[in-house]
Amino acid sequence: MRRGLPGRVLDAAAVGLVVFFLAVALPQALWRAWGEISQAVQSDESLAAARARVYGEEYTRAIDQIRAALPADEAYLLVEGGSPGSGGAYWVRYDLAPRPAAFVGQLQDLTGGARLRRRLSANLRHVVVAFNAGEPPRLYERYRFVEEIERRARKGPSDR
Amino acid sequence: MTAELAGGLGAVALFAVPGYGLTELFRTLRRQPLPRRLAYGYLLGVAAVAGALLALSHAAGVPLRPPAVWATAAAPALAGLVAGLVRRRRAGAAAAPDRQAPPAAIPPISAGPGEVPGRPQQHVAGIASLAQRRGGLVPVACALAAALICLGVFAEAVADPPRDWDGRMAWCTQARYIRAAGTVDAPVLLAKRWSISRAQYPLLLPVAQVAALEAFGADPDSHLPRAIYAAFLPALLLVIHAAARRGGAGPIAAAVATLAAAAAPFVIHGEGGAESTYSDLPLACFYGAALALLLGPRPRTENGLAAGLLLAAAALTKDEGALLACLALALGWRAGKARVHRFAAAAVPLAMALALFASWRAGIPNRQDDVPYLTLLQAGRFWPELAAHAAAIVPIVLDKMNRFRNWAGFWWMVPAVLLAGRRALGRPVARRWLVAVAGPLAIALAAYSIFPLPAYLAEVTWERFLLQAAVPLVVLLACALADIGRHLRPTRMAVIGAERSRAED
Repeated sequence: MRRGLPGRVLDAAAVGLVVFFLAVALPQALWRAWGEISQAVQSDESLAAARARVYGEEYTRAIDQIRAALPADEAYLLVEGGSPGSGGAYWVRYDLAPRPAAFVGQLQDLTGGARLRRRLSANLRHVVVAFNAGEPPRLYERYRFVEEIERRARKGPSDR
Repeated sequence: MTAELAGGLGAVALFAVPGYGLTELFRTLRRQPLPRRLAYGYLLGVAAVAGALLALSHAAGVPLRPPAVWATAAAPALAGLVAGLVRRRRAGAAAAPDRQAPPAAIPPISAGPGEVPGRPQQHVAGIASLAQRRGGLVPVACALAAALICLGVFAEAVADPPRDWDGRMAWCTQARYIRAAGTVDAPVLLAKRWSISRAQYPLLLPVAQVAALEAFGADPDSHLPRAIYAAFLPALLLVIHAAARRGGAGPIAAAVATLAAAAAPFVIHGEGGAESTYSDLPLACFYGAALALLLGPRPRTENGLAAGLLLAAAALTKDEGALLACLALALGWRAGKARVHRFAAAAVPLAMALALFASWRAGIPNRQDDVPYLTLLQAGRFWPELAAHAAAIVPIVLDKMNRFRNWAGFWWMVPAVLLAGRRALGRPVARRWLVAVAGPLAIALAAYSIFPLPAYLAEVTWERFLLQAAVPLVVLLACALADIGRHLRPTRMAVIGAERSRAED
């Protein structure tokens, strides 16, 4: 069972690294846990207040307004107005579920009324434009959204 | 907060109580100490309740509403209660002749009237006695630390709504669609025109969310489903502790479970951790717990059945869960009549789960934004791409594991411990655990080799695959640490431990 010097050095290094890891990580984890517990104990928030704190007040207010305007079984057209990959459309889709969403595409790709009408294949009345995380989404009547895109197309790309 | 706390505890109990009842049917699990029995019970409860609801909804059209949820939860709980009563009655009948035996001698009173300890001394003596019963101060301190960490995760889960990426993008959104439709074959999943991410992903955890929300009539914005995910953390640590005790002594098992709890990005706030609503931590639990039963020393058929339920849950939790479940089953194969029976008992629930998943998935069209892994795999560019992508993947993987702020040197420690304790890794059981570690990592490399953006995929998924391998990895750490302990202090206990390990092999 006795080991040579290299083996003993390796054993000592392994034990040392275990102790080092525990010394660094465990206090952090315990401190964090203690913080979570004390925050939760002191908190007396409603669900709406917790959503506003985590997702942002403006965003939560906009979601609540859209939820009030769209019945739970009414589908809508979803447009991604934020930067691609920001996740904004996912968060809006989650917050508006179980309303079915038909994804139209990126707002920047909707460069004209004709092109938009081709993409709006689903016969749905409302369009929700999602932006980057934390930014409030916007609800449009479908015809108003088409008008808005046509107006922007007439003004040129600088007015996006 | 109080309502959310009560809801969270209720959601956990919805699965833990039926699961605890199920453990009554499995002798090995029934004989575990209460915390470990509860951990296995929770995992079996999620597997049985959510799995049964998934099957009933898809195969029989049973609506996912409170009557179905309560009936599904009550059945295993009642089965366990009846089994427990029958067992106790039989045990009582068997013990009845012993009533004729003379009463046991009254133990001598060690302390005289003048030596009765005061209250503080009694407390200290009580704590010392508790620590002694639990194997010394180290396991008790580790248990307290791990309990505080788990409590912190639970507190965060009941206080905040989900804020993770995949949880909101896929799992929680699917749960909302399924709840509204009352079926796992929700129209939003079935019709390709509707936008949904990862539409074909297995639904066990979303169904568990729906079950908890429906059972308590919770608000759709309730944080209650998050408690289900948070409860997987103590389950993981207790499964690790149970499995690691076979590789090392009690203090080492407790220490490695604490190592896992302290590796915060691993199990808590990283992608896939207990503070998220990803399915990686549940998959790690199901995979690890099933392995612990299949690689255990006692080849009982009932252990195989319990492992099979856990493997079925793994297959219904994530896409790669089916592959990991098959790997775990293969690792559980050993010659010998009892071992073959255990293997067969594990294979049946897994085969049923795979058939259920295939049937459900056949009706769900894939969406544009989902990764067509099967198509990519069929393109046949696996090996050349693996070599070509390695240059992009390896630096990212190393960089992620080397981030001190996240990992605090966890991945510096792991190779050093495994190298120093490598003798322990040569044992047959340890070699199976090694293959079990390699399973999730091999799946990760295979995915990176065929995915068009391997660097991106490695960046967002590598730590989740590491998490899936958590139980076997930490068990190996326990084996290696026990070996190092034998080098440093070859005491009689260590020799006994080594002999026990050899006997288990």
